[in-house]
Amino acid sequence: MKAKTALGVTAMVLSIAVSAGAELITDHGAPFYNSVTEATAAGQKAGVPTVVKFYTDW
Amino acid sequence: MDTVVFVDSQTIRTFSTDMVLAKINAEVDTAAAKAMAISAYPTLVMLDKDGAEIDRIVGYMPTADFLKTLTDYKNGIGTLADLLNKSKTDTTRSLAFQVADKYKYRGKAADASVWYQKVIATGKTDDSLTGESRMAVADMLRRDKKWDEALAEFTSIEKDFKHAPYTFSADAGIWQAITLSRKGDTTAAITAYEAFLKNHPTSEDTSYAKKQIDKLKSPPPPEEKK
Repeated sequence: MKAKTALGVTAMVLSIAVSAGAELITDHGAPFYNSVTEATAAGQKAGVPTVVKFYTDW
Repeated sequence: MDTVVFVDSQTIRTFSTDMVLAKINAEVDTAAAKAMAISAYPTLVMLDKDGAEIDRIVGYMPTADFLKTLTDYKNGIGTLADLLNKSKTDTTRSLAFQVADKYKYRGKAADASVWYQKVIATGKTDDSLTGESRMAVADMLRRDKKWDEALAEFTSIEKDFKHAPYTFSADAGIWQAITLSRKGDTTAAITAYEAFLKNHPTSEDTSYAKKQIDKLKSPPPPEEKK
């Protein structure tokens, strides 16, 4: 029972972390995701293409 | 690009209704960058709803051109698939060159080489498209770290375009030096930079060559062990 509870908490934390990392960012300019998987899933759901911009900080 | 193109109202509309955008730092998500054979920045890859590549844009584009290219790609215009279909009836060198470039940007060097060779085989030995194609082939060899093959091609281009009204000869000259430097042959790289300065004194790359000679002759001292 104890192990089951611990596992459940871990799964919930992971789920929150994944969602937080993949949320649609809308605060500046064109809205975007920072995850290819999440963006592609959103594109698939909406029936539109996904554009992935690769950049570096240098 | 982020401060101009992606804050434009039309771009915001496009990515709010017609397409979904993802921005990926290639230094952080190296797996995604590697999976999509990204070799220059920025690169924008358009994927269909099943995640298959439609086409890509490499480098900066002004907003209007950028949005038109995306719309064209979405409608299947100007994509690799579209160009390959056209090539069944259109055998012009310019189309073959476009196909070659598309393959090169996707990291498909073997396919790109086949199409560049078509351009080279059907043109004059020193015309512009031949020069562009030969430089592209040599550059792909260099990226693949096939140093000696790349050097042989750059050397040959420098000679063949010596009297042509283009910069290919000078470009090939400096790339020989850069290739030797990347190969780790410092002495030969210095000699190649010096030869470049002697043979192409009016090139816009002369100051770069001088800086590289200084750098190679006086490398920074090794860090002291703590």
